[in-house]
Amino acid sequence: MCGTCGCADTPRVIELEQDILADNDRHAGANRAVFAERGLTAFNLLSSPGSGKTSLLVRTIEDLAGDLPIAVIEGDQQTDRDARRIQATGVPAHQINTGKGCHLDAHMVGHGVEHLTALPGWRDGAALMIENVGNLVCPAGFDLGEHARVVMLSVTEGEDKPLKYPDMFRTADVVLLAKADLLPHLDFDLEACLANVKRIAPQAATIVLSVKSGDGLDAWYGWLRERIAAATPLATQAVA
Amino acid sequence: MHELAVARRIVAIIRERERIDRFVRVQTVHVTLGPFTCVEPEALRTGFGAAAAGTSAEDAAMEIEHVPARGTCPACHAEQAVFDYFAACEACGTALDHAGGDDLRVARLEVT
Repeated sequence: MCGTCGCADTPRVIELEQDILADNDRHAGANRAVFAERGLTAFNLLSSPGSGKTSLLVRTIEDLAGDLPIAVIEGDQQTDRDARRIQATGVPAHQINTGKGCHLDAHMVGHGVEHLTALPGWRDGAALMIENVGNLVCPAGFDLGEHARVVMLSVTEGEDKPLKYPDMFRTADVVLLAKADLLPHLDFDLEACLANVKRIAPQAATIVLSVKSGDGLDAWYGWLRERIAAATPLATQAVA
Repeated sequence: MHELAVARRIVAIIRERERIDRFVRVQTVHVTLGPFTCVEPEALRTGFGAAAAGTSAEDAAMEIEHVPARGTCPACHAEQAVFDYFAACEACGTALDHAGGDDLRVARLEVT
Protein backbone atom coordinates (compact mmCIF):
# COMPACT_ATOMS: atom_id res chain seq x y z
CA MET A 1 0.00 0.00 0.00
CA CYS A 2 1.21 3.53 -0.83
CA GLY A 3 2.60 5.21 2.28
CA THR A 4 1.48 8.68 1.16
CA CYS A 5 -2.23 8.35 0.48
CA GLY A 6 -3.05 4.73 1.43
CA CYS A 7 -4.00 3.61 -2.10
CA ALA A 8 -3.21 0.06 -3.21
CA ASP A 9 -0.19 0.00 -5.56
CA THR A 10 -1.43 -0.15 -9.14
CA PRO A 11 0.82 -2.40 -11.16
CA ARG A 12 2.55 -0.88 -14.16
CA VAL A 13 3.23 -2.87 -17.29
CA ILE A 14 6.71 -3.37 -18.70
CA GLU A 15 6.56 -4.60 -22.30
CA LEU A 16 9.47 -6.93 -23.06
CA GLU A 17 8.78 -9.44 -25.88
CA GLN A 18 12.05 -11.02 -24.84
CA ASP A 19 13.02 -14.41 -26.16
CA ILE A 20 13.67 -16.68 -23.16
CA LEU A 21 16.20 -18.84 -24.93
CA ALA A 22 18.11 -15.80 -26.22
CA ASP A 23 21.00 -16.70 -23.95
CA ASN A 24 21.27 -20.21 -25.42
CA ASP A 25 20.91 -18.77 -28.92
CA ARG A 26 23.72 -16.32 -28.22
CA HIS A 27 26.00 -19.18 -27.13
CA ALA A 28 24.93 -21.16 -30.21
CA GLY A 29 25.93 -18.19 -32.37
CA ALA A 30 29.31 -18.03 -30.62
CA ASN A 31 29.75 -21.76 -31.25
CA ARG A 32 29.00 -21.24 -34.95
CA ALA A 33 31.73 -18.60 -35.11
CA VAL A 34 34.25 -20.95 -33.48
CA PHE A 35 33.24 -23.77 -35.83
CA ALA A 36 33.75 -21.51 -38.86
CA GLU A 37 37.09 -20.27 -37.57
CA ARG A 38 38.36 -23.81 -37.00
CA GLY A 39 36.79 -25.46 -40.05
CA LEU A 40 34.61 -27.74 -37.89
CA THR A 41 31.37 -29.24 -39.17
CA ALA A 42 29.22 -29.94 -36.13
CA PHE A 43 26.58 -32.67 -35.99
CA ASN A 44 24.06 -32.94 -33.13
CA LEU A 45 23.26 -36.66 -32.63
CA LEU A 46 19.92 -37.24 -30.95
CA SER A 47 17.97 -40.35 -29.99
CA SER A 48 16.49 -42.31 -27.11
CA PRO A 49 18.97 -43.94 -24.74
CA GLY A 50 20.27 -47.16 -26.29
CA SER A 51 19.43 -46.50 -29.96
CA GLY A 52 23.06 -47.00 -30.89
CA LYS A 53 24.58 -43.51 -31.17
CA THR A 54 27.92 -44.39 -29.59
CA SER A 55 28.23 -47.67 -31.52
CA LEU A 56 27.57 -45.81 -34.76
CA LEU A 57 30.21 -43.22 -33.86
CA VAL A 58 32.78 -45.92 -33.05
CA ARG A 59 32.10 -47.70 -36.37
CA THR A 60 32.17 -44.38 -38.29
CA ILE A 61 35.51 -43.47 -36.74
CA GLU A 62 36.98 -46.92 -37.47
CA ASP A 63 35.90 -46.68 -41.14
CA LEU A 64 36.63 -42.99 -41.82
CA ALA A 65 39.19 -41.61 -39.38
CA GLY A 66 41.96 -42.50 -41.77
CA ASP A 67 40.96 -39.68 -44.11
CA LEU A 68 38.40 -37.64 -42.16
CA PRO A 69 39.44 -36.15 -38.80
CA ILE A 70 36.69 -36.66 -36.25
CA ALA A 71 36.31 -35.29 -32.73
CA VAL A 72 33.52 -36.08 -30.30
CA ILE A 73 31.66 -34.40 -27.47
CA GLU A 74 29.71 -36.87 -25.34
CA GLY A 75 26.70 -35.89 -23.22
CA ASP A 76 25.35 -38.12 -20.44
CA GLN A 77 23.87 -37.51 -17.02
CA GLN A 78 26.64 -39.55 -15.41
CA THR A 79 29.84 -41.49 -16.20
CA ASP A 80 32.46 -41.01 -18.87
CA ARG A 81 31.93 -44.47 -20.35
CA ASP A 82 31.01 -43.13 -23.79
CA ALA A 83 33.96 -40.72 -23.99
CA ARG A 84 36.29 -43.58 -23.03
CA ARG A 85 34.81 -45.82 -25.75
CA ILE A 86 35.53 -43.07 -28.28
CA GLN A 87 39.00 -42.33 -26.90
CA ALA A 88 39.86 -46.03 -27.32
CA THR A 89 39.50 -45.51 -31.08
CA GLY A 90 42.25 -42.87 -30.95
CA VAL A 91 40.22 -39.72 -31.67
CA PRO A 92 39.77 -36.85 -29.20
CA ALA A 93 36.62 -36.99 -27.08
CA HIS A 94 35.34 -34.83 -24.23
CA GLN A 95 32.65 -35.96 -21.79
CA ILE A 96 30.04 -33.55 -20.46
CA ASN A 97 28.03 -34.79 -17.46
CA THR A 98 24.76 -32.93 -17.06
CA GLY A 99 23.97 -34.36 -13.59
CA LYS A 100 20.19 -33.95 -13.23
CA GLY A 101 20.06 -32.14 -16.58
CA CYS A 102 18.29 -33.79 -19.48
CA HIS A 103 19.91 -32.13 -22.50
CA LEU A 104 23.07 -30.42 -23.70
CA ASP A 105 22.90 -26.68 -24.23
CA ALA A 106 25.05 -24.36 -26.30
CA HIS A 107 26.98 -23.00 -23.31
CA MET A 108 28.06 -26.52 -22.27
CA VAL A 109 29.06 -27.36 -25.83
CA GLY A 110 31.09 -24.15 -26.11
CA HIS A 111 33.14 -25.18 -23.08
CA GLY A 112 33.43 -28.70 -24.46
CA VAL A 113 34.94 -27.35 -27.67
CA GLU A 114 37.41 -25.27 -25.62
CA HIS A 115 38.55 -28.45 -23.86
CA LEU A 116 38.90 -30.38 -27.13
CA THR A 117 40.84 -27.68 -28.97
CA ALA A 118 43.26 -27.36 -26.03
CA LEU A 119 44.23 -31.05 -26.24
CA PRO A 120 47.80 -31.74 -27.41
CA GLY A 121 47.83 -32.76 -31.08
CA TRP A 122 44.47 -31.10 -31.85
CA ARG A 123 43.99 -30.36 -35.55
CA ASP A 124 41.34 -28.04 -36.98
CA GLY A 125 39.05 -29.15 -39.82
CA ALA A 126 37.40 -32.09 -38.04
CA ALA A 127 33.85 -33.37 -38.17
CA LEU A 128 32.63 -32.58 -34.64
CA MET A 129 30.13 -35.19 -33.48
CA ILE A 130 28.09 -34.02 -30.51
CA GLU A 131 26.35 -37.03 -28.96
CA ASN A 132 23.49 -35.50 -26.99
CA VAL A 133 21.95 -36.96 -23.83
CA GLY A 134 19.75 -39.95 -24.76
CA ASN A 135 16.30 -38.33 -24.74
CA LEU A 136 13.71 -37.88 -27.49
CA VAL A 137 12.07 -34.92 -25.76
CA CYS A 138 14.10 -32.13 -24.15
CA PRO A 139 17.18 -31.76 -26.38
CA ALA A 140 14.94 -30.80 -29.33
CA GLY A 141 14.52 -27.21 -28.14
CA PHE A 142 18.19 -26.35 -27.68
CA ASP A 143 20.26 -25.09 -30.59
CA LEU A 144 23.91 -26.05 -30.02
CA GLY A 145 25.17 -24.15 -33.09
CA GLU A 146 25.30 -27.39 -35.05
CA HIS A 147 25.37 -27.54 -38.87
CA ALA A 148 23.02 -30.50 -38.96
CA ARG A 149 20.79 -32.61 -36.72
CA VAL A 150 20.99 -36.39 -36.92
CA VAL A 151 18.04 -38.12 -35.26
CA MET A 152 18.42 -41.88 -34.72
CA LEU A 153 15.63 -44.35 -34.16
CA SER A 154 16.40 -48.05 -33.80
CA VAL A 155 13.97 -50.52 -35.36
CA THR A 156 13.22 -52.04 -31.94
CA GLU A 157 11.56 -48.76 -30.88
CA GLY A 158 8.50 -48.90 -33.12
CA GLU A 159 7.51 -47.23 -36.38
CA ASP A 160 5.18 -44.71 -34.70
CA LYS A 161 7.85 -42.80 -32.77
CA PRO A 162 8.28 -39.97 -35.33
CA LEU A 163 4.61 -39.11 -34.76
CA LYS A 164 4.79 -39.55 -30.98
CA TYR A 165 7.85 -37.29 -30.67
CA PRO A 166 7.18 -34.65 -33.31
CA ASP A 167 9.13 -31.86 -31.57
CA MET A 168 12.30 -33.91 -32.03
CA PHE A 169 11.75 -35.47 -35.46
CA ARG A 170 10.58 -32.29 -37.18
CA THR A 171 14.02 -30.71 -36.60
CA ALA A 172 15.95 -33.57 -38.24
CA ASP A 173 18.20 -33.11 -41.27
CA VAL A 174 18.57 -36.88 -41.48
CA VAL A 175 16.77 -39.70 -39.70
CA LEU A 176 18.81 -42.87 -39.26
CA LEU A 177 16.86 -46.10 -38.78
CA ALA A 178 19.39 -48.17 -36.86
CA LYS A 179 19.88 -51.86 -35.95
CA ALA A 180 18.31 -52.87 -39.29
CA ASP A 181 19.96 -56.32 -38.93
CA LEU A 182 17.22 -57.09 -36.37
CA LEU A 183 14.35 -56.54 -38.85
CA PRO A 184 13.78 -60.27 -39.53
CA HIS A 185 13.04 -60.73 -35.79
CA LEU A 186 10.60 -57.82 -35.45
CA ASP A 187 7.15 -56.74 -36.58
CA PHE A 188 8.55 -53.32 -37.50
CA ASP A 189 6.75 -51.70 -40.45
CA LEU A 190 9.62 -49.98 -42.25
CA GLU A 191 7.45 -48.37 -44.95
CA ALA A 192 5.10 -46.95 -42.33
CA CYS A 193 8.04 -45.55 -40.37
CA LEU A 194 9.50 -43.86 -43.46
CA ALA A 195 6.06 -42.43 -44.26
CA ASN A 196 5.76 -41.14 -40.69
CA VAL A 197 9.15 -39.43 -40.96
CA LYS A 198 8.10 -37.87 -44.28
CA ARG A 199 4.90 -36.57 -42.70
CA ILE A 200 6.55 -34.88 -39.73
CA ALA A 201 9.88 -33.96 -41.35
CA PRO A 202 9.50 -33.72 -45.14
CA GLN A 203 12.94 -32.06 -45.34
CA ALA A 204 14.80 -34.97 -43.72
CA ALA A 205 16.83 -37.59 -45.58
CA THR A 206 16.33 -41.14 -44.29
CA ILE A 207 18.96 -43.88 -44.10
CA VAL A 208 18.32 -47.45 -42.95
CA LEU A 209 21.50 -48.89 -41.50
CA SER A 210 23.14 -51.48 -39.30
CA VAL A 211 26.46 -51.12 -37.51
CA LYS A 212 26.58 -54.91 -37.06
CA SER A 213 26.07 -55.88 -40.70
CA GLY A 214 27.45 -52.72 -42.35
CA ASP A 215 24.28 -52.20 -44.42
CA GLY A 216 23.53 -48.55 -45.15
CA LEU A 217 26.82 -47.25 -43.78
CA ASP A 218 28.05 -46.10 -47.20
CA ALA A 219 24.92 -43.95 -47.51
CA TRP A 220 25.60 -42.48 -44.03
CA TYR A 221 29.22 -41.72 -44.89
CA GLY A 222 28.16 -40.18 -48.21
CA TRP A 223 25.62 -37.97 -46.41
CA LEU A 224 28.28 -36.88 -43.89
CA ARG A 225 30.80 -36.00 -46.60
CA GLU A 226 28.17 -33.96 -48.49
CA ARG A 227 27.27 -31.98 -45.37
CA ILE A 228 30.94 -31.36 -44.56
CA ALA A 229 31.63 -30.21 -48.13
CA ALA A 230 28.62 -27.87 -48.01
CA ALA A 231 29.53 -26.42 -44.61
CA THR A 232 33.27 -25.97 -44.86
CA PRO A 233 34.65 -25.64 -48.40
CA LEU A 234 38.23 -25.45 -47.04
CA ALA A 235 37.79 -28.78 -45.23
CA THR A 236 36.77 -30.43 -48.53
CA GLN A 237 40.31 -30.06 -49.75
CA ALA A 238 41.52 -32.12 -46.80
CA VAL A 239 39.12 -35.02 -47.43
CA ALA A 240 39.21 -35.09 -51.25
CA MET B 1 13.19 -31.73 -16.59
CA HIS B 2 14.23 -28.69 -18.57
CA GLU B 3 11.25 -26.47 -17.70
CA LEU B 4 13.20 -25.58 -14.55
CA ALA B 5 16.10 -24.37 -16.71
CA VAL B 6 13.62 -22.28 -18.73
CA ALA B 7 12.05 -20.94 -15.52
CA ARG B 8 15.48 -19.92 -14.23
CA ARG B 9 16.04 -18.00 -17.46
CA ILE B 10 12.75 -16.15 -16.89
CA VAL B 11 13.86 -15.24 -13.36
CA ALA B 12 17.22 -14.06 -14.75
CA ILE B 13 15.38 -11.84 -17.26
CA ILE B 14 13.29 -10.41 -14.40
CA ARG B 15 16.40 -9.68 -12.35
CA GLU B 16 17.98 -7.83 -15.30
CA ARG B 17 14.86 -5.68 -15.70
CA GLU B 18 14.62 -4.94 -11.95
CA ARG B 19 17.71 -2.78 -12.19
CA ILE B 20 16.64 -1.05 -15.40
CA ASP B 21 12.96 -0.48 -14.58
CA ARG B 22 13.31 -0.17 -10.79
CA PHE B 23 10.49 -2.28 -9.47
CA VAL B 24 10.18 -4.08 -6.17
CA ARG B 25 7.67 -6.81 -6.84
CA VAL B 26 6.42 -8.70 -9.88
CA GLN B 27 2.70 -9.30 -9.75
CA THR B 28 2.31 -11.17 -13.03
CA VAL B 29 4.67 -12.58 -15.68
CA HIS B 30 3.10 -12.92 -19.12
CA VAL B 31 4.69 -15.70 -21.20
CA THR B 32 3.98 -16.44 -24.86
CA LEU B 33 4.17 -20.08 -25.96
CA GLY B 34 3.94 -21.47 -29.47
CA PRO B 35 2.35 -24.87 -30.23
CA PHE B 36 5.68 -26.49 -31.11
CA THR B 37 7.69 -25.04 -28.25
CA CYS B 38 9.33 -27.81 -26.24
CA VAL B 39 7.92 -26.58 -22.94
CA GLU B 40 5.07 -28.11 -20.91
CA PRO B 41 3.04 -25.18 -19.50
CA GLU B 42 2.19 -26.64 -16.08
CA ALA B 43 5.77 -27.84 -15.55
CA LEU B 44 6.88 -24.30 -16.40
CA ARG B 45 4.51 -22.84 -13.80
CA THR B 46 5.78 -25.22 -11.15
CA GLY B 47 9.39 -24.59 -12.11
CA PHE B 48 8.83 -20.86 -12.02
CA GLY B 49 7.36 -21.06 -8.53
CA ALA B 50 10.53 -22.82 -7.38
CA ALA B 51 13.00 -20.64 -9.30
CA ALA B 52 11.39 -17.35 -8.18
CA ALA B 53 11.59 -18.09 -4.45
CA GLY B 54 13.42 -15.30 -2.64
CA THR B 55 13.25 -12.90 -5.60
CA SER B 56 11.03 -9.98 -6.60
CA ALA B 57 8.95 -12.53 -8.53
CA GLU B 58 8.19 -14.72 -5.51
CA ASP B 59 4.40 -15.29 -5.48
CA ALA B 60 4.05 -13.77 -8.97
CA ALA B 61 1.32 -15.24 -11.12
CA MET B 62 2.26 -16.65 -14.51
CA GLU B 63 -0.14 -16.01 -17.38
CA ILE B 64 0.57 -18.14 -20.45
CA GLU B 65 -0.72 -17.03 -23.83
CA HIS B 66 -0.75 -19.75 -26.48
CA VAL B 67 -0.10 -18.33 -29.94
CA PRO B 68 -0.46 -20.30 -33.19
CA ALA B 69 2.04 -21.16 -35.87
CA ARG B 70 1.41 -19.84 -39.41
CA GLY B 71 -0.09 -22.49 -41.68
CA THR B 72 -0.16 -22.32 -45.49
CA CYS B 73 -2.01 -24.76 -47.73
CA PRO B 74 0.29 -26.16 -50.45
CA ALA B 75 -2.78 -26.85 -52.61
CA CYS B 76 -5.05 -23.78 -52.42
CA HIS B 77 -2.61 -21.31 -50.72
CA ALA B 78 -5.09 -20.41 -47.97
CA GLU B 79 -3.49 -19.25 -44.72
CA GLN B 80 -4.69 -20.18 -41.28
CA ALA B 81 -3.60 -20.32 -37.65
CA VAL B 82 -2.20 -23.72 -36.68
CA PHE B 83 -2.11 -25.29 -33.23
CA ASP B 84 -1.07 -28.85 -34.06
CA TYR B 85 1.40 -30.60 -36.34
CA PHE B 86 -1.19 -32.35 -38.46
CA ALA B 87 -3.65 -29.51 -39.04
CA ALA B 88 -5.62 -29.71 -42.29
CA CYS B 89 -6.71 -26.84 -44.52
CA GLU B 90 -10.24 -25.74 -43.59
CA ALA B 91 -10.95 -24.91 -47.25
CA CYS B 92 -9.74 -28.06 -49.03
CA GLY B 93 -8.58 -30.58 -46.40
CA THR B 94 -4.90 -30.77 -47.50
CA ALA B 95 -2.25 -31.12 -44.79
CA LEU B 96 -0.82 -27.67 -44.10
CA ASP B 97 2.79 -26.52 -44.28
CA HIS B 98 3.63 -24.49 -41.21
CA ALA B 99 6.15 -21.85 -40.17
CA GLY B 100 7.03 -20.55 -36.72
CA GLY B 101 5.35 -22.05 -33.69
CA ASP B 102 8.48 -22.06 -31.50
CA ASP B 103 7.57 -18.93 -29.55
CA LEU B 104 8.98 -18.83 -26.03
CA ARG B 105 8.96 -15.23 -24.81
CA VAL B 106 8.40 -13.09 -21.78
CA ALA B 107 5.81 -10.76 -23.29
CA ARG B 108 5.47 -8.33 -20.37
CA LEU B 109 5.70 -7.93 -16.63
CA GLU B 110 3.16 -6.35 -14.31
CA VAL B 111 5.19 -4.85 -11.49
CA THR B 112 4.89 -2.54 -8.47
